Amino acid sequence: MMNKSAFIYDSYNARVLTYKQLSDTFITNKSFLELAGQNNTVLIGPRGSGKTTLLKMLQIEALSLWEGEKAEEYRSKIKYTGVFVPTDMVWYKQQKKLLETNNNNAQVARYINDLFTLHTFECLLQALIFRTSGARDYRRILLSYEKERELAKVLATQWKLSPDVYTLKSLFASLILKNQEMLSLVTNDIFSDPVRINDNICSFTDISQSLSASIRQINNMISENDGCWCFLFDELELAPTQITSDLIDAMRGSNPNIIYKLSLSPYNENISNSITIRDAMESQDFSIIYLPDSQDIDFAERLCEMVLEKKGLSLGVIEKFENIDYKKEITELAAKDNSFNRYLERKHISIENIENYTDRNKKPEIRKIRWSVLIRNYYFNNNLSLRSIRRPADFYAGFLNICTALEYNPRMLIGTMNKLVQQYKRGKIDFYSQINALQDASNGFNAILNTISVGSDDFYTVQDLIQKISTQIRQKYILGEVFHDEPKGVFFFKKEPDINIARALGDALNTGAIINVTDNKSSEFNISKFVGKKFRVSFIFSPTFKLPLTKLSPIEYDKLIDSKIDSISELDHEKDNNQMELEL
Amino acid sequence: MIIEKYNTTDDDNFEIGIFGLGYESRSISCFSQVKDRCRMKLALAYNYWCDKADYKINKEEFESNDCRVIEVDENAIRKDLELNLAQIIQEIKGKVFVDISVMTRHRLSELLWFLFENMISESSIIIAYSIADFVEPPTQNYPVKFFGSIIDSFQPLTGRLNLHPIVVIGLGYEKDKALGAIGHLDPENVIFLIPSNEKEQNYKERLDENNKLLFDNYPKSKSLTYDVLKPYSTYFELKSLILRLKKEHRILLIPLGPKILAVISLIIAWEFSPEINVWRVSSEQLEKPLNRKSSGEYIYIKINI
Repeated sequence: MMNKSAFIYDSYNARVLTYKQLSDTFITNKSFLELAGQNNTVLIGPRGSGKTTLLKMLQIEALSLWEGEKAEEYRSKIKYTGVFVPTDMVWYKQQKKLLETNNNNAQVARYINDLFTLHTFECLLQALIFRTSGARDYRRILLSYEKERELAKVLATQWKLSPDVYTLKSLFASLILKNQEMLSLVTNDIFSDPVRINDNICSFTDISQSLSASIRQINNMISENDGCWCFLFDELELAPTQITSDLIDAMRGSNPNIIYKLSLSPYNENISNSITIRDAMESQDFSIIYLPDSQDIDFAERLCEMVLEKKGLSLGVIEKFENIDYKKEITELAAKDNSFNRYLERKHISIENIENYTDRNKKPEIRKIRWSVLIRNYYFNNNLSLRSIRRPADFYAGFLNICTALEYNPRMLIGTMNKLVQQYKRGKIDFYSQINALQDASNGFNAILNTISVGSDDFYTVQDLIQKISTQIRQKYILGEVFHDEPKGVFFFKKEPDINIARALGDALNTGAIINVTDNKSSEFNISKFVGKKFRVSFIFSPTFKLPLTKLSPIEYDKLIDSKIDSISELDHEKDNNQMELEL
Repeated sequence: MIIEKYNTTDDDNFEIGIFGLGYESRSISCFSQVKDRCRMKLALAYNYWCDKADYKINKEEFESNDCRVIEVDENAIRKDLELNLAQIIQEIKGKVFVDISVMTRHRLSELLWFLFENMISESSIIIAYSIADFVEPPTQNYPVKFFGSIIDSFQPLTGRLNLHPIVVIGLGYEKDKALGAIGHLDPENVIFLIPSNEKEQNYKERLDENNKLLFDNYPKSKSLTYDVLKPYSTYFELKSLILRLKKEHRILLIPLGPKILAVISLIIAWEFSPEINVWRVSSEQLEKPLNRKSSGEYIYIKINI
């Protein structure tokens, strides 16, 4: 085999980065400030929203290497030792299959929980060894040989291990061996023999109790009775269900020596809904951070600047879409779209006076219809037939539109900026390149959604679901026969959807293809029920499906996707709006 | 298990020949080469698409040449194999010929795993693959209906969670199929296995076009090229790669592209069992059936049990 040529630009996934790379490229944001606090936190967001980066930066190893502007401030503020505990999709799918093959047998589930608990011990021990090794001075522990021996001995007893010698490194080796031994038994048909399985289960108690006991011993031996350890569980939805539930419950505990920071995707049908935001607010046990933060434009700018700066560029080179002649767009649309004309008449909007309207007089209404006007005028011919253009319009370009379309998702922003820097020519990155980059992002996303199978008769994959919803919005409310000043597109449920649709929506939420836009996210932090919440399709699909980059009005999901309802009259539309307001 | 090159001029006789009966015209191309040298002949037929393309002609060819045809349910392959092959295989001490040309990855994997488990030592399997003439890739992306272990009964927990997961994925020429699989799993590291066949440049061109986004999105990933016509070399190269990786990684193999890579992946998974997982990505019957004709070129690999 031969090595192929190197590639031009970098992708970004925090899990791949070394501590050094991570800390060198890290940019703080409002969420990090909140996350770094000395309290339990749940971090919720779809993939790529920055959860892993933020959690990994709280690890002792990463913090010790960080040389950024605010590094010292954070180092002195953070009083705990961060222990990062990863999991991943491949392991998740494997353990899920193992459970299914064994009919969800309780002993098999315990065995898998034990494996995950051992994994957590391994992560804890890594952080402890880092602190005792004296590799860097930050939070260094001086541990005598006797104390280390004693500590290794008590941990070995608690963790049911028998190391050759009682040192932390030997304990680590013993942990690895134990883990490997248990893994090999999994494939050695252990589960067909209840006696054999019982002999090999470690039977750790609840993971939080196991960690509490370990931390008590560690603090005692390192003479840090107030020592605080922060467990940073990443992608916790991929951990065994029991572990996830135990950790969530543990967040209401009051052990001052342990903090939990858990990252979760928005949807997980298996997580208990017992903890609500109200609980959190009332008890002040934990805070909840939703990612990505679309309000943090400053962060998006600094992140993109960082990518551009590497090539000697700045945000200014991204061509701006600002000089649109809106009066011309409105005039052109009015000339071909009678329904739009009727709307203008109904609202007493005069095209001649467009530029003279103020915020108190019509301007908000004119602003509100901007996207509908642009899209209809661009895609409709004079006879109101659709132009056969596949390429999205240029008005989706511009830095802010790119950020909006990418939902301020840091990984996508970095990926797209990396592509754009290659397109820099003649002093700018033009609209053509920007639209291409957005289409690439959308196509890549679609490829992923196309692999997420849905057990529904209506949709094969999550991509089908997104396509159906987006197409219905376009056909009914954006490029339908009738102009809608308040096109619908945000959807809600009056009754819980069928389980297959719920899972498809859940997968879409977790990948970021669907966004939770509930005004006040005051129900449970984990979406396992859909009634009472509002959703929309990600803006990343807007250029492809010819949809606005702005939040639309609400409609019931069943009505939205019912293709029999293919066109809505202007009167119905108004009635509909009034009804929705009452219902919501 | 020992892997060897296999020379077609060996003119061997086989205890049993196992073939695939499908609608593609190449379904009978290997059969026509070896039918007179197989003591027993068995064709594993599909229970769908039996009215497509050359299915009826192929079936007639098998049946008229004393080849037993059994219909195998894609959802119960193992059961059908146990029922029809277990006893025969356990008694064979000699060579078994297996033509994988028109077998799905799922089917050929279940069959090979079954043979590995049941064949007695000192017997061997000759795997044959009839390379098809180039056909253009589908213009649409078929929805994926299954993404998981290539063998129903074998999906171990491979390695400690603290080992970094790595996906070694064979690329095919279907648009963004590999990208979807990788994106879905979101692994820390990826290695691409790119098929090459100097006699077939069209395939390579389409592969590059249809994986452009993948290469763009995973620019730092290593790409390794393997020669489709040299399965023996590919086996050793892939095995040495796996040996290098497995100390620090949990390895998942996803052999998209030419089916011979699925065979090689499976052999390696067997050898390293239970450390390596092999997965498939399938649109099952949502794909449009394409009648692939044999190019007249064959590749073989021999497995000594």
